[in-house]
Amino acid sequence: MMYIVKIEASESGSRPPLQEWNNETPPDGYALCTEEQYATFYSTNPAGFVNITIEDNKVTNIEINQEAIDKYIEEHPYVEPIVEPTTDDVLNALIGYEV
Amino acid sequence: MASTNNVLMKQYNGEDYDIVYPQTTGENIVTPVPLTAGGGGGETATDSMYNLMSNISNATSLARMAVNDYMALVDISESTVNRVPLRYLGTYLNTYYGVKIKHGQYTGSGTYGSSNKNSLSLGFVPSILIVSELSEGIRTNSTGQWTHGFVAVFPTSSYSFTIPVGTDAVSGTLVMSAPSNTVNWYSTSAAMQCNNSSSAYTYVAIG
Repeated sequence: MMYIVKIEASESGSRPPLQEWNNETPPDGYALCTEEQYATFYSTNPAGFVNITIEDNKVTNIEINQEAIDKYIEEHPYVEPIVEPTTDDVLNALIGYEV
Repeated sequence: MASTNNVLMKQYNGEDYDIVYPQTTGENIVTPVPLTAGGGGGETATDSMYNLMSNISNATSLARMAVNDYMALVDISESTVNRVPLRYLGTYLNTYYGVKIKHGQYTGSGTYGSSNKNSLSLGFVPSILIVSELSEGIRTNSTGQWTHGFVAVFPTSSYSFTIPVGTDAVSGTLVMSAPSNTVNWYSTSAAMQCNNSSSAYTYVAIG
């Protein structure tokens, strides 16, 4: 399986998920990736923070950008989602009923 | 005197007779060789080619077919005169019949937000894009937002728009880019952006 990676990284240093590709020529703005490079791309969590070298529309080198990962994690700390109350929750609260 | 039809030549081998087949070239064969015998079934090359193409569905094995094989369609590439590699079939269908469809899968990277957009290269301007998390399937939550995927119906005008999305517990918004050959989108969580870490997503785009 062949994949394509966006050549230009976002301002945070990340790249969108790799896209499956069945053609020898990548679309404009993309480069071809191998299975091995795919594994490197997804070897971190979050993934996609990689620096790439390209020759003839193909990725020839891919390296993890740990600095960008650390910055992203710092700027996006995990926050417990606030669960929205259901209609039943609201009505029970109004009549003082506790389940 | 022997008839010109059904002549058998035999050669004595000491015990009995072996049938000897004369060396025959294609030009010597005047009767059309049927398809079932490996021939073209026609009186001329044109007839035989037509018969072969028309009866390809009767072939018992197409195991030798490969993506670089040719189809008998009109030429749409300057590099392939009067023939079309199968890899150009999509282009052919797009050009002459307006069929524009692309589907595939991607694995989420776990990021989200306007600085970490998802992106798909389609090769055409889509009318509809459907993205769904493979293990869950697209559905709506209790307040009507898409969860585990979304359906985007693109306006003919070129501007970005929002789609109500959420998780099973939280509501949010997905911002979709203006339609072009590449679509981009982002949201306020990896789940709502259809980019959960290591989750597999499938997509279908129709132009």
